[in-house]
Amino acid sequence: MDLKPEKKDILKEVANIGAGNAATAFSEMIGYTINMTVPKVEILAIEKLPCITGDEEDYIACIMINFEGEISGKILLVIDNQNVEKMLKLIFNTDSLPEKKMQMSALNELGNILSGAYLRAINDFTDLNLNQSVPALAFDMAAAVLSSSVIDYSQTEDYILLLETEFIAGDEKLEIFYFFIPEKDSLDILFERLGADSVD
Amino acid sequence: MINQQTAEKIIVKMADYAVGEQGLLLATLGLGSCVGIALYDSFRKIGGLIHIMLPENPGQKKIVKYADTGIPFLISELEDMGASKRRMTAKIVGGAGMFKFEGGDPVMQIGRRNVEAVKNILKEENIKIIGEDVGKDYGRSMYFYLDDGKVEVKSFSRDLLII
Repeated sequence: MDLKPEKKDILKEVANIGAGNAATAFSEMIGYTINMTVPKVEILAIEKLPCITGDEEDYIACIMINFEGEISGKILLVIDNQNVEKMLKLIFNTDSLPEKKMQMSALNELGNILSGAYLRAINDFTDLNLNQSVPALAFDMAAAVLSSSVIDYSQTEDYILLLETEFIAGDEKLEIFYFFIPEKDSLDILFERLGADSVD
Repeated sequence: MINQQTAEKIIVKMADYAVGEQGLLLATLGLGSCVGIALYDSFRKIGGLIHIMLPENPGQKKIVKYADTGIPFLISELEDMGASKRRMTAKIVGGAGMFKFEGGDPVMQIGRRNVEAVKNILKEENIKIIGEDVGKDYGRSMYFYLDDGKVEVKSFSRDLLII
């Protein structure tokens, strides 16, 4: 897999618009300012994915959302497990957290809001119709979780394309890694829609 | 007694493998739906570890990423080092379902399919599985000691398991 710089820039712009919208929605959800990093576009060997947020054995929480429609792919939200509780306290605006089930619901809701805002921005920008699936959750070793998240893409692909942003929430600088992973065939459709299919 | 601190260690990455002899520790970290397969000839104290991601190679793809091409490849690598297939035994770890929906239903079944494929291939190769920790819903790291074929399985939610 290879990508011309012009196409990379277009994807960065897509990520910027999507993540900007997601940051706003997130900020409205918790009532804190959300900062985000400049999005990165990376082509990554699937074998390297387990280390993308740190060590293989780091304990992480991951929210996974599939999207489909005119293009399809996955959105992954990754939070270091130590920060999950802090994040939930921000969301619930309290120091005493509700029962586990409510916490899971809140994380799913966080996933829905962030991915929904991101996909809506892409829809506005490209006019591509997109639907998101119900979020799925995993809490475990980073390598185990991340490798399993894209296993359905790795059957025929050795590389994946990632649009990556980090959201930083609240005074405690809580980080959320945000990955937008379009399916390979969807990339051509995306470029075509953005008038970049003639870039070679 | 060789332990994790003293043994020379090789980390096997996803879709990769390693082989070696007595004194060596082969490890693979964070198996989710992937499966780690440790093959060992206890007479020669030669062993190999492979970390496969998927059951079947669609053809022309990286050999060690798939169970159906990776396991026979590992067997022949070990035979080249002087191990005998007749004496080889297997221990398998991983094949979990990591993601769940809010109601608790698992998301993908690839872990289970990986375990089935690995078991079928080992059966075809006439290699007996003498230890396993597979399936369920949690990640595992695997440490394979070539001194005696012992495999330690580490996970967040369970005690250290020795198989």
